[in-house]
Amino acid sequence: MIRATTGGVLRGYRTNLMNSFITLNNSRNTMLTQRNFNSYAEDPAAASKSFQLRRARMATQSQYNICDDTYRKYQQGVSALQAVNEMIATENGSDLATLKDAALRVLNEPTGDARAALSRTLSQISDTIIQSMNTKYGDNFVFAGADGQNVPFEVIDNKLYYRGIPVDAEVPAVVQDAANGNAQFKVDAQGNIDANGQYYIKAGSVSTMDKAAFDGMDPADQPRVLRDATGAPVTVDADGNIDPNGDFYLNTENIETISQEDYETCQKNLAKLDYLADEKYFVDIGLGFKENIKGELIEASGFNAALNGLTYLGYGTDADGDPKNIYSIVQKLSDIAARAQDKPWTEADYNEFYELTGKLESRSSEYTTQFINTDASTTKLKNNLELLEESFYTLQEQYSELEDVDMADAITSFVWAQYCYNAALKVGNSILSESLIDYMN
Amino acid sequence: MSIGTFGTFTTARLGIYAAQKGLSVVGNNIANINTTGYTRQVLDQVSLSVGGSDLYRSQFDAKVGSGALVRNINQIRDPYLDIRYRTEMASVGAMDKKLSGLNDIAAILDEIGKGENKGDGLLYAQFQKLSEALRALGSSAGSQSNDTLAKSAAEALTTLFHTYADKLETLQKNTETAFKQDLAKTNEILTNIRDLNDSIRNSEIYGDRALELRDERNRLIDELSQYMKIDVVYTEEDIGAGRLVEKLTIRLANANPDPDVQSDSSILVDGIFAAQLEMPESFPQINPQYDPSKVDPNDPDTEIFGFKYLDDAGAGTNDEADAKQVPNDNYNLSLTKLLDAKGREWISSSTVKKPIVVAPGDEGTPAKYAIDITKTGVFAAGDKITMGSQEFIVGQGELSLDIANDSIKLANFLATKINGRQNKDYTVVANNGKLELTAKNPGQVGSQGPDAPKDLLEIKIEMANRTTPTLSFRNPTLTTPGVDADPNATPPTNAIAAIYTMALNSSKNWQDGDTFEIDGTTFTVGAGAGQIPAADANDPAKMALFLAGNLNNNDYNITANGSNLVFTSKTPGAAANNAPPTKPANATVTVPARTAPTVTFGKPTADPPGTIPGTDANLPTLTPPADTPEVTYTVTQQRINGQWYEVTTAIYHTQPVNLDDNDLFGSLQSARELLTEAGEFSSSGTINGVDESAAVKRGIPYYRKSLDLLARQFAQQYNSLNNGHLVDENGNYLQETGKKDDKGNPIYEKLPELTVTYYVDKDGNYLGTDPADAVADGKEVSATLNKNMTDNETKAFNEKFPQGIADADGNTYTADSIQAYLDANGVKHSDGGNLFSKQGDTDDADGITAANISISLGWSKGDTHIVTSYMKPFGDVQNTTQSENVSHMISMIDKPLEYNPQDLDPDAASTHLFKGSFNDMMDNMCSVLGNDRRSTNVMLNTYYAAAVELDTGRDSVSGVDLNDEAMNMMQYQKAYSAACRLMTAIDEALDRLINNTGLAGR
Repeated sequence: MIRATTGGVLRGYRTNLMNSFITLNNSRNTMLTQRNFNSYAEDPAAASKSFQLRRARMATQSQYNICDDTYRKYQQGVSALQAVNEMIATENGSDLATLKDAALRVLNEPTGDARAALSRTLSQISDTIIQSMNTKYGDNFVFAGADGQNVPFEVIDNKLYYRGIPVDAEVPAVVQDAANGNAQFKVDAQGNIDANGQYYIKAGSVSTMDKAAFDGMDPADQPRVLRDATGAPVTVDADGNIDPNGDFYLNTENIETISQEDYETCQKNLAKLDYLADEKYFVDIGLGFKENIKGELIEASGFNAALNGLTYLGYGTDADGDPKNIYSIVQKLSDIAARAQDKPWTEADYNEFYELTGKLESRSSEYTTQFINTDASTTKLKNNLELLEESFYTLQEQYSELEDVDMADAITSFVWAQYCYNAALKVGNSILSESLIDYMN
Repeated sequence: MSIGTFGTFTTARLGIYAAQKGLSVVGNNIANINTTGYTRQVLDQVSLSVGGSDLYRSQFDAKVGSGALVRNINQIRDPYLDIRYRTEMASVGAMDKKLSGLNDIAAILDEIGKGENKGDGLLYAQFQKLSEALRALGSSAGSQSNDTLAKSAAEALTTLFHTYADKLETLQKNTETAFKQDLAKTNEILTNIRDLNDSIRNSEIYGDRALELRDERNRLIDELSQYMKIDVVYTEEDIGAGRLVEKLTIRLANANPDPDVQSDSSILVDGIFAAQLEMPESFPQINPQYDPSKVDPNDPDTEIFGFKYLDDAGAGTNDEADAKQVPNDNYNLSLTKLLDAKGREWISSSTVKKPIVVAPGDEGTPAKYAIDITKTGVFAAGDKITMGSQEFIVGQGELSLDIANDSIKLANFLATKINGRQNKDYTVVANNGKLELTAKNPGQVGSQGPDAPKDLLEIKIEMANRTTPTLSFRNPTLTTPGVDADPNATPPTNAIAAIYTMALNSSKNWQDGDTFEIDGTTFTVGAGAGQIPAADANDPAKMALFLAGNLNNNDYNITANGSNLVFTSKTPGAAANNAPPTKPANATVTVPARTAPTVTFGKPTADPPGTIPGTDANLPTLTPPADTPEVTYTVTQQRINGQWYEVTTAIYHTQPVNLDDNDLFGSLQSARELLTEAGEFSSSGTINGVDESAAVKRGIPYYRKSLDLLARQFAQQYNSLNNGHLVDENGNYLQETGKKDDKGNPIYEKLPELTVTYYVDKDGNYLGTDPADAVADGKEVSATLNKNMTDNETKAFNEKFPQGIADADGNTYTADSIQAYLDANGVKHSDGGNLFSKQGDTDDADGITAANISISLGWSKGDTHIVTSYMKPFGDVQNTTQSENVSHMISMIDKPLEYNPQDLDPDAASTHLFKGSFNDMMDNMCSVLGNDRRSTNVMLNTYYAAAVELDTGRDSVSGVDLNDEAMNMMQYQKAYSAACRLMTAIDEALDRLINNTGLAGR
């Protein structure tokens, strides 16, 4: 610079004074807002990260609430399951009668005097179980799977229904065509094979006769057997299933048939029960809650909050045709006890009762397993709650670290800025006062 | 001594004057120390020395100067610093305006520190609140209160969208208003500079430097430089009589990075002329495909690339007048014509010379003209022919009467005199009453061009005044007396005839047609029988001979001897007896009245016809550029210093200039960019035809459109999720059966899938759908259309089965129209429907933007709810608290989505803006904005610091400094005192000399 002029010096001073004042103002703002940045422009990366953390914190808060809600529902469920567990436990140490206890007493009561009362006890306990399984949390039924607004278990005509489906649903065995992949085949009302027939032959109702014996009989004496569309008798195996190489014919004199529609309804009911026992609905408790590329929720990222009553009480029938459901077993026990009241056991009743008691024991055990599983899930929820809480505070800390100023640093900066500003003012005072003119006489 | 006795008083006076002037300058500088734009002034003081010798000059004399002269008062300025400062200020203006605009946008969108918990944000937080409400709904599906909670959260979200959109719209309007104000301010500056130029010019003409006006002009130029990048040039303008005055020209400073664009150097101010910036209502439609490099002359389809504009029919044109006019949404500016304060237009001209080279031997046909000659009347001696500046007198010098009265000879004569000399360029010959001009250099064109030589057209004839000729005779003189014959002699031998001689006088200016009458006989001058030719008449001897032959005399025979008539008596010896012959009476001469002769030359005609000089095949073709409104051209061929040139003269008229998008750089351009730039939303037309970098420039429209796209994406996704179809437990779509269960709930069944059978080879390669496509070792497989197919699956499906798949009703569907199949045959959820619409009083979701997104009428009335689940296991199982659809909705909040600008604006060139969740998109907008603000701020600070430094630098040259002025003040004050003291000293010295010298002895 060749010359430093009054105007030039003043301009430079003004600019620097303004910069100094801006710095002071920024330091003051930092101190007052206690934030490291007040706009994206100041630190875009930190701003973006900060919002991300805050969003995560808000989501965590929300997930915590959902988890807490689910936990409470589970607690309610566990409480009900506990009560049921006590009712079906072998020993409960309390005065309350238990299913196991009552059943054993029926089985071991020789005269039958108390069987009527015990039968009622069994029936009442089973009803109480159902009531417990219909427990609610808030407005929703806890064990209704994904249909919380409707009561899950209903007893209609002494039959237990779960969400409108009989829990003892079974698909009757029908005679099959072994040569054709064990496919069912249709028959007409007379029991002959007919592609347009509407019936299936129930497997348990058939009897066979030796082919050679049948062929040796006078045709007039021959019993009615399964015939194909041409009227030719159809050979079957020993179990009554169609077999071209079979040595038997199927006697259709006293067969039972089931209509195709009923058969399919049974199939469907069983499929529904299978589905409902495993029905799920997912809530977001902070496990990720992400969908795959097809838009389906990745199950591991959500929490299945559905509690299906069927899972605990069981459904369907076993190979003996006995129900697998605790309520139905107990009802059946109750019926037998009622049937055998005031008289000694018949062997058949005793055996049946005995076997059922065993099955009750087995089902109780399964119930307990499921109960424990549920309890474990409850614990899992509780642990998750703690994790969420911890995560909540961690996130708060993380964005706080990004956003909040170090006050010592902020104050130091502010004081330094103020010091600089004051110095600038002081300099200005001297600039304005001095020039050669002031020394002229 | 070369100065008089009192000369030193003058020296002292000049010193006082100079010091006083200096003090005035110091005073003026100090007074203006705070005047913005004031430039320090200094006194231009020179030492005065009176030159030359005087009467008493002695070579031994020591010459002393005559004092100080104030020559001028100057400003001290550094033009280079001005240029640098103004360039920097354009950047400062640009960044300042941009930053200001971005700050305004940030004040709306930047949510740092806003919201609950000291900075949860607003829109950010609201997305989370919606998410929270959805989670609550998910964990307790079917709950009306949770649906209402979600609705409230969604409503708050739409309100936030509205608020942001409204604020951005208001910002757009305010920015537009500010832009128009800036425009008006810029025009005011341009007008003021023009008027100042006028004032400064006038002042300069009268010798005033007009320093203060220059200061004001510099201040205005500084101010202008913030609005646009300018180039300031000072030149000198000839105002006549060799007087030069300064002329200021301001142009746009080539801010446009596109080298093909010329409008970025348009003139803003040229001396006393200035343009104004205007924002037209409409502009010609730019051809988005314009790219001349793609034009292939052999491919008609590429023609479109060569057109800059599109007309109403969408066809290309390069004529702006034919182009379709489109609204000026880009805030494009134009410059008016350059006008002075009285509204007069600016024009200028320039010439370009192009040498024309003709190779020897290739010269072709010489240019040839034929010029008609028409002569009337008869020239007489003394008639004057004037051709150009040359005069020829008939009968004098080379121009004889004979030549003058022969048209061919006369034409030849004149041709040799063209232009005062033998024609330089043409050979001129007369032929058949025509002049033929043949170019001397074949193939070249004469300097006279196609016109006849100019002076031939300007021939004037002035007739000479004529003296009437006379014819007179002298009395006869007897030269041989007659002697009688001896009568006695046989035969007589001494008879001698008497002879008289008479002189004839005749003037020599006889002309044809003159008549003269002698003794009752009239004779005519002419070429006819019995006539005497004018030439003979003018020869006295011949005239004498003529008369001798024609005058009758009974006694004497008349003969001619020279100019005398000789009378010889017919009878010898009779002289003594006969009287002398009678003298003929003097002739009475009659001169006929005379018509003025004329000589005229016609327009030249080309010979052979049609051959125009200079268009010979071997000559360069003269094709002047087509005239435009801006420039009109004239092309001539001129021979300059022996070389032929094609001289093109261009006359420039200023025309309104439509400025290109990037011609300005400064606060005006930044304001325009804030108002127009849409970043990735820019159309290909804008990118190709307006601004190549449009896709990376982001102004208010970018943020508005981004917000609109976010709102639309949000609405579309949730509307789509709420408009699904019922599915069974396996995800198969259901259809109506018309049946109901015991509780009156409808029962559904599986909707037939759209399945197609096709054939593959043993390696699984697709062969076709026709059974004929099957191969022996291949197999038959089937494919099913599925709504959830990925984009790649959809594409592959459509490639394999372009014909689509027919349903039971014969309707055909492709992978793209599977939704139509579901809409026609599937089952909609009773709660389903649009959750968001473009207005609160409708369910219509088309055209949703941030400004209009609303809770749909159905949702607000309660006809529509959030569909918690589409699942209907086995078509009839109730699942009132199933919430898989809510799960989708919760996931949607954080689901990465593709933001495609074309979804909002089909014209957008880009198909990808961003991929991320709603919050990520918002975060992206704010990050883009934040980074832009940050970088702009850094640049502004850099430019500003440089500008301040340059301004201080300017100030160091041009600024007033009190110390400087104080020093000058003291210096001039001392000089003033000293000059006064000098005057006193001389006064005292003279006083001594006059009053106190020579008193000795008194």
